Amino acid sequence: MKQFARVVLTRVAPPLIASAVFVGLWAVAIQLFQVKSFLAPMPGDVWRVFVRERETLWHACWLTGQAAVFGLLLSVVCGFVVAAVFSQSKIVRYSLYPYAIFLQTVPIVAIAPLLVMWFGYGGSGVIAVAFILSVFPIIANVTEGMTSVPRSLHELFDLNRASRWQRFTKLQVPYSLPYLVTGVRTSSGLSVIGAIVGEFFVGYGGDGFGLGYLIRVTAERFQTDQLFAAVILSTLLGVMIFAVVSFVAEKCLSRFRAI
Amino acid sequence: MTSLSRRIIAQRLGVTFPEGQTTLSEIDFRGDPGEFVSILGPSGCGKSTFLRCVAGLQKPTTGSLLCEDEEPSASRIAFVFQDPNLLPWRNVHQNVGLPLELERQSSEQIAVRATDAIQLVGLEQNDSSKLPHMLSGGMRMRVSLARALVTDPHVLLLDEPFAALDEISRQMLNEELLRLWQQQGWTTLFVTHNVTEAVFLSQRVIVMSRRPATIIDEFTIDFDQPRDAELRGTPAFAETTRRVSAALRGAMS
Repeated sequence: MKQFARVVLTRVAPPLIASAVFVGLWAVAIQLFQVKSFLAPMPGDVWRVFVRERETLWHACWLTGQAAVFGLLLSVVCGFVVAAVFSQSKIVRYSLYPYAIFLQTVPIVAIAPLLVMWFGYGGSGVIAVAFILSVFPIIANVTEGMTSVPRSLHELFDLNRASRWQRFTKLQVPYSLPYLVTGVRTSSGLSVIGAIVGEFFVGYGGDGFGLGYLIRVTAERFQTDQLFAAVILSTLLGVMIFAVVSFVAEKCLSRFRAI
Repeated sequence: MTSLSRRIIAQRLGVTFPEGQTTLSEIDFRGDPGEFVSILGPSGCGKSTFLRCVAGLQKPTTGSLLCEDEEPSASRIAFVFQDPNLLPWRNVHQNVGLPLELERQSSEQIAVRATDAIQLVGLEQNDSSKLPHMLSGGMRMRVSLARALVTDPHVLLLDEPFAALDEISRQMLNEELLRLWQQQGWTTLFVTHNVTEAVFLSQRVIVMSRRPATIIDEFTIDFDQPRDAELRGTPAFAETTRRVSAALRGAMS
């Protein structure tokens, strides 16, 4: 109980107080400088949007979250497979790694129309954008993990005449799991960004709309209070996915980190 | 566990690395079945490279190396690394069983033999489920030793295995190793830079020169077996240690 109280006092209370202070200053500043409400809303207005539009927001959040999570899962599976292939052959790695970097540098805004053409308006287009944005950190980290197994551990497997498959499953895969976690943590934020960017351009057609669409439309209409609510929700969504990934990683992988 | 032993014969063995650095040259060595030989030499001279050649981890560039009359084969050669080299995600039992797993032995077989090996090196059964990071340095080294012994090797190669341990752990593991060697009778090559350790353990000590290393001196150590901790305090032991140390000094200059 004492422990719990200390955690609350040292880890939970300070950031809450900080945010309360920030919101307070924000409200004071808007009053003081008489900022127009379409430029920056009062905190109370944003709060009222949360209450009034809760069903719309919840639904949008749900759709965006789904797209982000599917994009992220796809990234984990594909990124892992690509990294596994890269780890088995230097030539393949050297030939194809530069193109993997393309995924990182491609201006997603520019290829979004292409994705719409390929995947059509709807969930799969949004997932595709989330995937493209979030796959690279997983490829990069897992490749790094699989290729950085210390030589002495490889020699242990040499001594026991391990097959390539044994070396892969019993050495490279477990060794690279902490790297995978690092990759997924980075990608979790990117998948949310990807889903929102995807919704900006692609949307879900008639099946409803996500936070990205909400952000675009409310910005165009100068509904700044709603825009703020959507942005805050997007951020919280990213934080939540990050937290879930971290929690699962902590539970499952603690033994893999202790070297 | 019963072990056969093998003869190790190196003739004019040499290793030159691709960068052009000659590490070993003209090594003539013969290790008889069941013999315990220590290799001393200045650090970085190539003692480990020689051991790695015997293990098949390093290809000699000149000369030949035979284990009895077969080419060096890893199947019955066990190697203990300087670092315990344990897989951190596997518990003690799983680490020890790894070589058998790679040989595709049945899981019952692995369980029995790993348990035996763990017992053999003086670890408790309740240590079996511990992860390496929960163990002390000495215990990790015991696990590493158990992993080497689980395949029932004919030849045991040890590359400065106890160098990172405190003096008492080192002495205890020395005594343990000697007891196991007497019981199992492997042909044993032990690389070290510790003269006391070499004299205590070995029937023969060879001294290597600086790089490119070759064998420059050899001592037969004929203290009676079984040896125990008392031996380290005897005048004869001190005298032998002094002679070997002098040879090692010579090798360094």
